[in-house]
Amino acid sequence: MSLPPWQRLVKEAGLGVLAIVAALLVDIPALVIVNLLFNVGLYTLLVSIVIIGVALLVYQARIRPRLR
Amino acid sequence: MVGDLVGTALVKAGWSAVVVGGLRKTAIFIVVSPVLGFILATLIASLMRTLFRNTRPALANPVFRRLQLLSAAAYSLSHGTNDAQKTMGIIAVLLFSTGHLGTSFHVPIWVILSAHAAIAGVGTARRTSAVRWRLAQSIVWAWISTIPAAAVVAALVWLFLGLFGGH
Repeated sequence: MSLPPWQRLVKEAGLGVLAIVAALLVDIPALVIVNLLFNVGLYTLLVSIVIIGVALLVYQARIRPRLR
Repeated sequence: MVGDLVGTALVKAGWSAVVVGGLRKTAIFIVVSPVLGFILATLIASLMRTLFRNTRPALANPVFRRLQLLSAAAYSLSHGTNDAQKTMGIIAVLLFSTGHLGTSFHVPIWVILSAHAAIAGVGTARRTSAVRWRLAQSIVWAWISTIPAAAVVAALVWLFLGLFGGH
């Protein structure tokens, strides 16, 4: 069943705004955290980011496929 | 650009001319930036997949097709601000070395971070086999080899110009 044009437009606009807000919800807190780590020290930033990155990669590559 | 400056400085004035603290910062962000891009891209892609799991493709596809214009524009802006830094860096060095600039200047942290947002995270958000790891491998080798290679080329150019009294 196809929607009337105005209803479809509202739905598409809503989805678009939701997608942008979701991306900002990840980006903004992440940049605040990175800025805090940077102010603590460069090596703190390096070690923290590498640990999180490796953990995420291991999760995506090894743990998540087994959960499916 | 960092490699060029280091290579030329080493040949011209030796190790004393190299600011190790500045090199350390660059080296750290060569690692931090892509890893951070991977983390952010993975999180955003996972969130999108969760949020829009039950949305009909006929409705979602046109929206995301248009949103790609926005993300491509943001990506281009991020790349452009980074790319322009190289030219600005050369101009800044010229101004600094000729005494036309003050004693301190810096690049904002958000410029450095946004420059390296990686795409690999989006691939692994689907599955790790979706990432072309051979390409990722060659990118890593490019990171490792670019700065020393640029330093060697800059040093050779410096020496070559010296043959013609170009210093």
